[in-house]
Amino acid sequence: MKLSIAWLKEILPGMEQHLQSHQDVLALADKLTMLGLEVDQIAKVAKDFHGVVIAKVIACEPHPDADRLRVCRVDIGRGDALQIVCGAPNAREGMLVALATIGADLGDFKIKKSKLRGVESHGMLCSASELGMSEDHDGIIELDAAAPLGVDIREYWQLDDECLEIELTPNRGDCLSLYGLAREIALSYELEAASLPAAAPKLDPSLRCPEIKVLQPDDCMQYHARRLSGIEPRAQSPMWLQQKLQRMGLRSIHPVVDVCNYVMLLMGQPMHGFDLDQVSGAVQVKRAKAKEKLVLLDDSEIELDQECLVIADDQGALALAGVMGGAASAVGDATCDILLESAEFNPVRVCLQARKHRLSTDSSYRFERGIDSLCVRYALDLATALLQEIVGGQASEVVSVVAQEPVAHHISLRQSSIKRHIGIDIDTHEVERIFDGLNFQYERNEAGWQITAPIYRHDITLEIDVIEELVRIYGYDRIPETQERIAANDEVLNDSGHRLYKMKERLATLGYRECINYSFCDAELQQMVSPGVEAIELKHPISDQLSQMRLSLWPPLLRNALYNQNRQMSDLSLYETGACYFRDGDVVLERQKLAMLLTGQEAPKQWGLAVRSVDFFDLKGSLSALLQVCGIEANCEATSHPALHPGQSAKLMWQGRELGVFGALHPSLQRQLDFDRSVFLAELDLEPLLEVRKPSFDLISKFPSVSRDLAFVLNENTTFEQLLSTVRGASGDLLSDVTVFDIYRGVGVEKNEKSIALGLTFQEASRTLVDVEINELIQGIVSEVESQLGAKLRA
Amino acid sequence: MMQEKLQHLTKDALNAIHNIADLRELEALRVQYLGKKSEISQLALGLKSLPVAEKPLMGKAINEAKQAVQHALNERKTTLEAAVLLQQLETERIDVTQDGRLSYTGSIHPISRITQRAVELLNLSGFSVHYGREIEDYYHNFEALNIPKHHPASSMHDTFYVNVGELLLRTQTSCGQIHVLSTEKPPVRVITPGKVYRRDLDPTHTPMFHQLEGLVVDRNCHFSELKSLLHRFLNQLFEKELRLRFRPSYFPFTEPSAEVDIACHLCDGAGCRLCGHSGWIEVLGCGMVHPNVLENIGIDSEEYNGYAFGLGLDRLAMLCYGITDLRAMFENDLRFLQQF
Repeated sequence: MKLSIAWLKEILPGMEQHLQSHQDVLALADKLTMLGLEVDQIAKVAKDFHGVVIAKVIACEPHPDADRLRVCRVDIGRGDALQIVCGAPNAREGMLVALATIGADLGDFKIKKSKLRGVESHGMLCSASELGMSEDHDGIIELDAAAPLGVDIREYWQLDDECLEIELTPNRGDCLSLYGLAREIALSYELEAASLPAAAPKLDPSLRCPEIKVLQPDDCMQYHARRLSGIEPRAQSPMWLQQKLQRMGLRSIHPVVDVCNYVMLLMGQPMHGFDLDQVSGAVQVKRAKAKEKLVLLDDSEIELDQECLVIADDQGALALAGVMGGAASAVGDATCDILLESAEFNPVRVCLQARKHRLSTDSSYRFERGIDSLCVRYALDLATALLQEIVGGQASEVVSVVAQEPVAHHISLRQSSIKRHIGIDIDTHEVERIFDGLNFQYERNEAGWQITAPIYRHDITLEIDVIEELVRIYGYDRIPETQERIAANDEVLNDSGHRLYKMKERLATLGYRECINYSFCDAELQQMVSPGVEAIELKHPISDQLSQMRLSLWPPLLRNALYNQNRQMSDLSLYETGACYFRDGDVVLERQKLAMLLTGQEAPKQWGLAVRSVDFFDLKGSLSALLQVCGIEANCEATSHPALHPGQSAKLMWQGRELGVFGALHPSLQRQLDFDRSVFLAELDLEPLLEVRKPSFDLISKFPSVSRDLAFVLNENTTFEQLLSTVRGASGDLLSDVTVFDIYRGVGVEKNEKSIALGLTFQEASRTLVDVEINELIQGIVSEVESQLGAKLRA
Repeated sequence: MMQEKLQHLTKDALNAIHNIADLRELEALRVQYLGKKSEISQLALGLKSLPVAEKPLMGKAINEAKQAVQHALNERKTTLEAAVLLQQLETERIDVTQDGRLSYTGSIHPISRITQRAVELLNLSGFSVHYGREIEDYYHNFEALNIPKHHPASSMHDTFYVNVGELLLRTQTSCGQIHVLSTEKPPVRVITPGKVYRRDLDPTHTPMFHQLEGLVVDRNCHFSELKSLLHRFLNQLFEKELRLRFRPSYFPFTEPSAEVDIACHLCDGAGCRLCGHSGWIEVLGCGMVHPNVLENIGIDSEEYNGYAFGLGLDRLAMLCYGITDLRAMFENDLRFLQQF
C-alpha cells in the first residue's frame, strides 16, 4: 500500500505541521513501522528539479534542417512567446506542456540557450522521465486544458511530495486505504481523526435502476447499485485525479474506472462500473453455472464452476464477484449509461475464487482482508458525486440488498491478562487512552473491561487480540527485558545433531567439502541413478530441473561435480547430508542420508610429490576414518548398484546391518554425464551412525609384542576378507593386529594368482610370549590358510 | 736415545695432526701414533728393559707425550667436526619460502556452521532439539497453526504440494511446535532447526531455505521474558552487545507478534548499503503463542501460555560471514565452499 504525503495532508490537515521536511517524513515512516505498518521504501515522486513552468504551444512548425525536430513557439503567460526546438513526436499546436526555461536545473543538467541545427532554442519541453516521475519515454508531458500558464509545475502538481510504500500484514485490511492509514497516524500523533467528505450526488428519482437479486446471501453481505445515465463519453479524468492515481501506483484508464479506483484508495471500498447497454434484465449475485466461460477485463478467458460467485444478468456471468469485471460489460469510449456497484462479498469466497483462477487484484486483495461494512453504501454516493462532476449524467436512487447486517464483537479483557502475557501492568488510564485512540468502546467491570471493537477491525475478536493492540500502541520498546527462567533439560545432551556435526568435522579433516543442495532435482538424472524407483513429485515445480524429491544425494552431488568441473576445478571431494524422500503408496518416508563424492587427483599438483588419481580405496579409507567417529568398524562386501561399476561396488556391513554402498560411478553413466575421469560415490544411512556409541577402553599390555610376516600365494578370486578371517580364525586371541603390507602379481607368481604379504602382531596382556608358541601359531595359521583357501606359503 | 726418539715422534705426530684435514685420516693418525702397535706404545713396552732409575722419568715422558698427542688429536677433531658441521649446515640449507606439503582440506557449509552455533547456544539455555519431517500435511503446516484455509495468511507463503495425497513441503519449521506439543506435556522448551520450502526464486529468495524455530510453553510465560531471551541469544551469536528493535508484526500462530531487528553491525545504525540505509537488519520473528494454537492441541490456554521465535539461518549465515549473494549458498562452487 502506497501513501502519498501530500494526499495525507489533504485528508488529515493536522499533519501539515508534522510534515515540513524530509526528516519529518522519515519520522513518520519510523512511527508507522513501530506501529506494525512496516515502511519498506520512501520515494520522491519527482526528482529535485526547478525552473519548469506550464506553457502552451501556440505554433509548431517542422525544423528547416532536421526531419525529426520541430520548432515550437510557446506562451508562458507573460512576455513574448519563446522559440523552442523539440524532438518529441507528440508535440503539437494547442498543447499544454512542461517547459524547462533557461536557467532551469534538471538535476543532471542545466538548461542553456542553445542552437539545434542552426535554430535557436530557449528551453526544453520535458517528458515525465526527464523530471524523474516515471520510466515512460512516450514523448513530452501533456497537461490538462485548465492548467495555468507560467505556474511552476512543481506547485501545480504538488511534486514536492514523497510516497511511502507500506508492507501491510494480512490482518490489517483496515489500513488498505488512505483513511485507514490516516486513522493510525492520527492516533500516533494524537490528532483529531480525519472526517469523511460530504457526498451529495444529484439524484433523478425518475431514473430506473435495474433490479438487483442476491441469490447467495452467504457470499454477499450487502450489494448496493445505482444507475448513472447520460454521461459524457469523451470526458477525461482531471489532472489532479490522474496525478493521485499515478502516485498510488495506478494508471488512469477511463473516468468511471478512475473514480472507482480513487474511492477504493481513499476508503478501501472496491467498486465496479458496468456498461448498462451490455446488461440485460436483472443484475444477480449468484453462483456460476458449471463450465460457464467469462472473458475478464484483462482479456483472459476463465472457466467457471458452481463454486464461483459471479455478477450475472439474464445472459450469464458479467464479472467474477470481488475479483475482476468482464470484458463484455466494461466501460469504454462509447459508454453513456452505467451501473455503479459497491458491495461486500464474503472474504472466504473471494479468496477461494481469486486463488482458483490465480488472480490477485486490488479488489480481491481488499475483500479477502475484510472491508469496512459501514462504508459500502457511502462509497457509492461518494463515487457518484465525484463522477457527476467529471462526466455529468443523472443518478438514480440506490438499489440496496442487505443480506447480513454487520456484527460487532464484544470482548472481555481481564486486567490480569495483560501482566500474564506481557509481563508488566499498564496503567488503567493509559489503557483507556489507547482504547479511545483505537475507537474501541469500553466499559469497566470488576475484572477489567468489556470492549466493542469497531466494525472495520475484523482482526479483533479475542482477548489476546485486544492485548496485542494495547502493546502495539503502548510500544514494544517500553516493555522491559526480564531475565527468563532457564530450565534444566535432560534431552539437551542427547542430540544426534551434535554427533552429526562431529562427523562433519571429521569429513572436513579428511578433505571433504560440505554441499547443500535443493531437496528437489531433475527427473532425468534421478532415473539414471535410481532407475525404476518411484519418486515423489512436486505438483507445481519451479522448473523441470527441480521437479522431483530426491531419492538419493548422488544426483545433486554429481551436478555439483559437473558444475565445478566446467569451471576448471576437477579435484573434488564433496559430501552432503540430508533427507531423501520415498513413497510407499500414500505413505511418505524421509530418510536421512550422507553421501560422498570423490574424483580427480588425491592432492594438489605440487613439487616433491608425484600426485596420483584417487581410486576406490581412497574413498574406502575415508569411509573407515569417518565411521571411526561413530565407533563403527564395518566390513565390505561386493555388491551391485545400477549407478555403480559392477566390479567396483561394495556395501558396508556392520553387525548384520547394511550401512550403505559405495563404489565407482558406472562408466556408461560417467560418459553420459560427461565426466572426464572416474568418479567415486558413497551413500550411507545416517540413522545407525548417529546412535549413541561410546569408545570402550582396552587394557594396554605391558609385555612386548612379537611381529611376524607371512606371504601367501592365492587364487585371484580369493578375497582379502576371506584371507583375513581365516588368519584371524586360526590365531585366536593372541593376534592383536594384522596388516597387509604388500600385494604382488607378476614374475614368480602364476597368472590368476596373487601374493599377499601380511604383517602379524601377537601379544598377551599378562605375559611375554615365547618363540615356541609363536612358531606353533604360525604353523597353525599357514596350514589353515593352505587347506581352507588352497593357498601356498610364498618362500 | 729413547728420549730423543720420543721427542722426535711427538713432534712428527703433532705436525701430522696439525696438517690433517679429514676426520677419517685423523683417526688413522690416532692409530698410528697412539694405537697398540704405535711407536710410542712400543717405547712404553721398552720401559721394562730400562734401568730402574730411568724408568719413572722415561715413563712420565712417554705419558706426557701421549697426552700431548691425544690433546692435539682432540683439538683437531673438534676443529674438523665443527668444519664438517658447518659444511653440513651449509649444504642442508633449504628455501623456507617453498610450499609445505599440500593436501586438500575440507570445509563445513556456512549454514551448517551457523546452525550448529545457534543450537549450541540455545542448548545452554535449556532448549532440546526436535527434528521434524519436511513433507507435512495441511493440518500441521496451516490449520493447527491458526491459518485457516481460505485466509490471506495462508498465501503469505506460496506452497509446494507433492503428488501424494494432500501433502506439502513444510513452509516453516513452526509445524514442529505442533508435533512436539502433541507428544510432550508442558513445560516444553524445544528448538526445531531444518529445511523449509516456499515457491519463490529471485535474487533474495530460494525455494528451499533453513529455519530454526524455538518454542517455550509453561505457566506464566510473557513477552518481557521473550525479549530478554532473544537479546541474550543474539548477543552471543554475534559475539557483541547489540542494540535490538522489536516491532509489531503479524504471524497467525503468535500474538502479540514481533519482528526483531538488530542495529546494523556494519554501520552501527547510521545507515549503509547492507541495511538498506535503515540502520536496522531484520533477523527474526517472534511472539507469544496464539491461544488457538494451544487449544488446537488440547492445551488449556488459561493454564499455560508460551512464546516462540523463528530465525532464518541462511540470512543469518550471510550476515555473520558477509555473504552478499544468496544463491551462492546452493551453487556449491568450490571457490565458495573453500572459504569456510
